[in-house]
Amino acid sequence: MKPFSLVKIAAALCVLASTCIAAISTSNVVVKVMERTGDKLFEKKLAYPKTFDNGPTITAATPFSVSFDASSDRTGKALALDQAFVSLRNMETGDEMAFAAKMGKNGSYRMDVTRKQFRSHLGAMPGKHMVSLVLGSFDEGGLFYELGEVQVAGKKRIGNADVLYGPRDEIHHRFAEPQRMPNVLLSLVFAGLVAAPLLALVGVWVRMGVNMSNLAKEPVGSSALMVLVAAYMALAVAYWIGVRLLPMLAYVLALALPTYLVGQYALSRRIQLGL
Amino acid sequence: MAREATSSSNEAFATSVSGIVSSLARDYAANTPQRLKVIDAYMAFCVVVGVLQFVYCGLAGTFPYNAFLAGFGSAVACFVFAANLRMKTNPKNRAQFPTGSPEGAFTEFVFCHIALHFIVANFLG
Repeated sequence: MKPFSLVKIAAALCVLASTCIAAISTSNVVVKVMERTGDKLFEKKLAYPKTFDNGPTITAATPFSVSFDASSDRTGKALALDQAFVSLRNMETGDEMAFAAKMGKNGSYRMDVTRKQFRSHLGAMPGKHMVSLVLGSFDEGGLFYELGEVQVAGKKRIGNADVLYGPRDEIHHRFAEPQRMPNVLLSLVFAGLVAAPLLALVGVWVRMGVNMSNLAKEPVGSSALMVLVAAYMALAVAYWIGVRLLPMLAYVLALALPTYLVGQYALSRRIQLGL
Repeated sequence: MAREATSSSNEAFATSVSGIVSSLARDYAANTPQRLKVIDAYMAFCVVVGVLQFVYCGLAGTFPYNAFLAGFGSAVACFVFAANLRMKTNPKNRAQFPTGSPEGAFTEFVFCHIALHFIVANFLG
């Protein structure tokens, strides 16, 4: 059983209220459909209670807007409405979507259906829609004004829209395609190529005359510092393989003080010895 | 006549470029301290490793992307740290870095590398 539309209730109350209390009147009602480039596809100016015929087709790419001025029948002045909606009701299914009209200056209102709003609200319910103004004011009553029919473009959704409490359509999950792995031979060749510059670097250093002779002059501190730095590198590798953060941090903190002290000693000794 | 003038100017340009390059190499070999040459060799090594990783990524694709970023970023960071070490240990820059010593700069270099390698190990995946 379809729930009775809240917008229909509001509209009925507006109509009832408008017959009892002083009413809202509208003027300069303009329904517009534009191209993305700014060219007008459809523009119609209406005066209550006239409607437009041969309504346009609205898509995500063609912004749809409705603008109007609201004034009080009693005072003739521009009105700040408590409720200003533009309702689009699907003529087939009865589904409704209400878009709030924003107030501008001097009682003028404008509603725009942007591309994002079309995709999120209207895209799933294509077909013929009745466009209506649903206006309300606490003091002046209400107004329900059917402007005309428009065609909302889009693909019809799969499944029975009438089923509310029954089983839904089965969802077929599409897993992501596995990533294309490179050729094993290519990977091995490049692994070797990337390791090769290290050998070349050592060769260049040897050719430059880099040697370890000064290490004998200050062996203890320098060796200990190198061992501790190597321990840090080994810890990084162990973390990469094992991925256990907190034990790794504990080891880092445990090694920090000895490394600092040994480094301080080794480097100050090298300065003292003039190495 | 015009063609001869163009070819002779091209030859002169090539000669001047090769002359500049060889003069630069000679000056570098003669006037650069050995310490700085060692660091320069290390920097060239970082560049070559980074370029090789980039070429591999171009050929084999970006998967796994985090591994490529970790490796390439590591090469770039090592180059930057080595450049900083070179700046601080260059005797000609003593006026710009009045406090500190080459040993202090080396300490900072080692500390930065330790931090870098933990970050890279975390990002490698």
